[in-house]
Amino acid sequence: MHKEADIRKPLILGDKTYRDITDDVIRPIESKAPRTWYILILIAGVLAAWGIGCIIYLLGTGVGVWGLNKTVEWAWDITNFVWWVGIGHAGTLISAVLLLFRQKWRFAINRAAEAMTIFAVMMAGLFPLIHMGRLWVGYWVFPLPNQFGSMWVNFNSPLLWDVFAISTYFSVSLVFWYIGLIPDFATIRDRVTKPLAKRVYRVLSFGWTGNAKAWNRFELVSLVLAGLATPLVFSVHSIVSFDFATSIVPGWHTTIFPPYFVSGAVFSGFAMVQTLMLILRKAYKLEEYLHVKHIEYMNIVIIVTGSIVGVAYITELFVSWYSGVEYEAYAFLNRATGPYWWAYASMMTCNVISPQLFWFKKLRTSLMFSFFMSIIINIGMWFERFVIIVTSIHRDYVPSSWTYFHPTWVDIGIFMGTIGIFFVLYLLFSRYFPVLPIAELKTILKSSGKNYKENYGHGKDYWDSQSEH
Amino acid sequence: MNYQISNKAKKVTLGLSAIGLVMVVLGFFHQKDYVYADYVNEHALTIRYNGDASDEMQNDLKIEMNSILNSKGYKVDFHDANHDESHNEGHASHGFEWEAHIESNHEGEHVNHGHHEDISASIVEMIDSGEISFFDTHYRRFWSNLLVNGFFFFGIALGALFYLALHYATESGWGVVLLRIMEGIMSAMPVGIVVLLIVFIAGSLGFHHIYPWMDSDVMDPNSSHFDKLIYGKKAYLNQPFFYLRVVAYFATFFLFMKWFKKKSRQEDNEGGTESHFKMYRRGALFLVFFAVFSSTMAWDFLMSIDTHWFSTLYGWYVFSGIWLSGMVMVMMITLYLRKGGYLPFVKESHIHDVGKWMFALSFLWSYLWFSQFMLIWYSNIPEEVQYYFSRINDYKFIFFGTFVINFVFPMVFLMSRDTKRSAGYLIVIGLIIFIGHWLDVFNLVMPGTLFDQWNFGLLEIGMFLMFLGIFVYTVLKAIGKSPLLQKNHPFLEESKHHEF
Amino acid sequence: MKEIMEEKVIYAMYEDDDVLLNGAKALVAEGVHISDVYSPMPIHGIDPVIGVEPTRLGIAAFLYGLTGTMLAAIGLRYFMITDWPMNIGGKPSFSLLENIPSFIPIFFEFTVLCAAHGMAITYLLRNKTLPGMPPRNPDPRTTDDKFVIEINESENSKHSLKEITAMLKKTGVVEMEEKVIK
Repeated sequence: MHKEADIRKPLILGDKTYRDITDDVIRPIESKAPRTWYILILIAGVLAAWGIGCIIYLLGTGVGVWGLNKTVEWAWDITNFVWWVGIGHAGTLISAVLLLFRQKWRFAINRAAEAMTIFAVMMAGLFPLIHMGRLWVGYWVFPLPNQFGSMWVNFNSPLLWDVFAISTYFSVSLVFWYIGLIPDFATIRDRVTKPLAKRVYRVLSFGWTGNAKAWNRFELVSLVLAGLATPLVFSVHSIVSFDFATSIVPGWHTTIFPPYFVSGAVFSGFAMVQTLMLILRKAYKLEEYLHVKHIEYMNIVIIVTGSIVGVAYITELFVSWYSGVEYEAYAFLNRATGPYWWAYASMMTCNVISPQLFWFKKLRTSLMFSFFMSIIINIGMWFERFVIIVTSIHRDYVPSSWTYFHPTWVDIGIFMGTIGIFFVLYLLFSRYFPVLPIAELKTILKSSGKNYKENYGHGKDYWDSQSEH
Repeated sequence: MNYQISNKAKKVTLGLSAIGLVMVVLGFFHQKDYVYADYVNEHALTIRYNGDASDEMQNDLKIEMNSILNSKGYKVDFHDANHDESHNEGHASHGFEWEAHIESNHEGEHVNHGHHEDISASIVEMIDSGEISFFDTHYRRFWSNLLVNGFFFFGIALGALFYLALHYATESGWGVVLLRIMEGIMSAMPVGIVVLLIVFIAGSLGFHHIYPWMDSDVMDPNSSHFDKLIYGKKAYLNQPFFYLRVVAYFATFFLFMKWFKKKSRQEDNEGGTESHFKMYRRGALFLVFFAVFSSTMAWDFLMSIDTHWFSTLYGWYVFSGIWLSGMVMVMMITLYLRKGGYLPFVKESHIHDVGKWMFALSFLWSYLWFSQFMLIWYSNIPEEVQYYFSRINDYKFIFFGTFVINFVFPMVFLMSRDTKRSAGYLIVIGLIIFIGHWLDVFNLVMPGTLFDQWNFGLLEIGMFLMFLGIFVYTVLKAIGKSPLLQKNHPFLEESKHHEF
Repeated sequence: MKEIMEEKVIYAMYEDDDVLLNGAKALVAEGVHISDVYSPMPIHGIDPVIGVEPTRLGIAAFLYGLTGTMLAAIGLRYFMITDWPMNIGGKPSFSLLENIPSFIPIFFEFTVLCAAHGMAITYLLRNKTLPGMPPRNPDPRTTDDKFVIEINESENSKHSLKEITAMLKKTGVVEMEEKVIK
């Protein structure tokens, strides 16, 4: 069996056996939900209900209830859409890219991150949908025969590419997630005693048996899906960026958008994973599976992606001047010093400057600080999208139509509502689904479990004596 | 285990550069400065030239054409067709436009000829093909090729350095057995640095005009060559600042390269993990510098050739090419040394992983190529799209061909597991991608320096071979200087037992 | 008929994957044919020992992907070039090639869609894992922390069940069970 270098910190702490892993992950499903869970889901549920109410009001009245005007015809709707899609990028990144890079620490977070991805993409998909307005005639997008002959949607339009990208991403992520869940559902099925739960998990586990051929296929399918999902992750946020970048609006049309959006998406996604996991590990007592080292790794990903985003901001700013195109230059000058300077300043502070604090080992290994930063970054990334979308269009070529965007209570209500729906789904997931991949954790126990690592190389705690620089 | 460059390898690499040098010398004297011809009718054509041609050169050209036509039994008359008044004010520009009328010397016999030759068309063809042209006194092809190869080979060394730093910064384990090969490749960085410096300094001294913004006339508001757009970029594109940046890039990269090599030898001698953690932190620091410099360097060295044009993605696009070329070089050198039996610890799974990198980076490169191209193509804004206009009009085959080579080949042939483990396949695909990325740099440079007057011949092939020989020789020589295995690397065991 | 279908099966249970792997190697060396292994997670290195062929799902995924690309190309050509050409941004879609940059995103997405779902469905069918299927693992603990080797009598003509049982005992088995399967 291949052993890990002894300076690497163990990923699974404590004295764990295979049985312990099963017990630790399934415990929350078998036991009664704590009161805090009910309180949290109640709060989230109220928010969700409020959001759904706002959506119904919007659909019944029309998109005019949003704060949009003639100049700013896209604002919070698309901002929220991009924000949620961005958050939805970390899950597949963790499960796919980190799988290809053979990063074993991903097993502590991949299941929950994938769940987050799926719920976030659902929230994202909601916005274009409700933006359509009269949803009940939504079938008009299909080429149904009519008196003019059937007409196709425009396949040259980035908005349609987006439909394909988001739906492909959503369904492939779902499949990826579920294929990983099947063996774990089987584990639960073979353990639970309550008849109803047994029946439900029996259906969910699809009759998984865990024989050698099945595992052989399982591993290959995971790998191939990872290979497919990796370019998919890149393509999805690139296509989201094409929504803007294919246009000729100064501030939107810039070639760096595709990779920069991808990086920003991973950045915000990891921040959200950080927020959720820090709570989850505490609530479900998973500290031995998801400890400071994992948090540190995630923080490193956050510094890297945050810095890439920072380089992209500065590149854009520089090239807008370098281009010698006055409209381009003005768009960026206006962004930084115009009426929306406060949004630009928040974006810069939250996304570029504050993640640099993670260069300090003390800070990136501090759980409180990581939690605080993850919230800051989520806010910052929301502002980034807002800045890109609104500040580029609020002053167009005709100064008489320059305006300022004010969100209405419906804008705010729907956004808050999606956060509510997201948390309702996430809380349900964490209650009834295994939040860590049971089977996959067992595969790394012998190479990365503390009790196993102590028995070879320099032995006990060598990693701690070494890695402190 | 130690490696010493074999006599055969020495002969091959140095022989290659000698052959290259001969080709360069031969090609050097065949550089052309094209004139343009438009067909009017069977007996008339117009001939244009926009460059700087003295009266003497113009006369020589007329005499040359006369003698060609005389030998075919025709005579020719030239008239100045340039009626534009503005051209005569101030000092005369040395461009010209002639109307040429061709008549047969033997009116009577002409009628009896059975076939009818369109003499005007054949002259146009000779002019288009460059048979009738000036000799290029600015040696533009030579300098452009020097830049292409200087940048390409500098990029390979830099790509290896980048990957080495990344390997340390990410605490990767699998590739430890390949680190010394990367060290060897990055050691050849001075080859590229020297060539690039020669190109820059020659530009400053006015030997060539690859960088229009180096020309003081362009920046002078009183000059007839004044360019307002370029003048607007003066705060960035001026020579003192440019050289400051060039020194900063080269010094940073060179010093990091030296430091990593020194530290890894120190680790060999002293053991322990202290050097390792130092390299881990220094690797991260390098990536910070690299994040900024890789973009600005691409703007300075390459994007500023097409001075009017701009693209925010440019730096990252160029970087992906650099990284990939570096990985291909790692693959080739590894396969070569492994075949010689020097790398018993490099297993198929290592080769497979480098193959995966080649595959993945080809995808990354294609993705960035497509993103930049598609966004500019789609929005069709004149100031941006002109960059692709010249590439598609004058370089169509080579421009799209490069994309096909660099995307389709790796995608089709490196997808399967078996090809990534077969040395034969990898060498062929590696060579194709390698040349493909050389062509990519060619596409980045030539359309901005030679416009539609490019050529592909002795000079291009010779220069490539010459630098390839020198580069590989330097790399192999450098690899010979230290043991092939970093015996005290903390992740060495992981790498030795790398299996999947 | 029923009696012919009946056969005896031995289930040997282990507590550790490495012990099982070594045991399996020893048995195979003696010429015993192991019909299957049940485990709570993949055991690396077991496939060549018990003769599980590498799966061809990867090739299937490639073919599904190729189908996706073709379908997207045929579809988009028909929608945007043949049936209802549009002039967008001064770029008339008169041929597939001229307009290909704006088709590539959907080509790609559709390729991935077909490859991923095609492979996933094939995977579920091949594994016989579908909603409502009954679990067929011999012991519920094999999805927790136990590892089981399954040996069929009919596949082992060289050794009697007794001999096999004796061999198994030497390999660190914790529990053994003989079952008659219909």
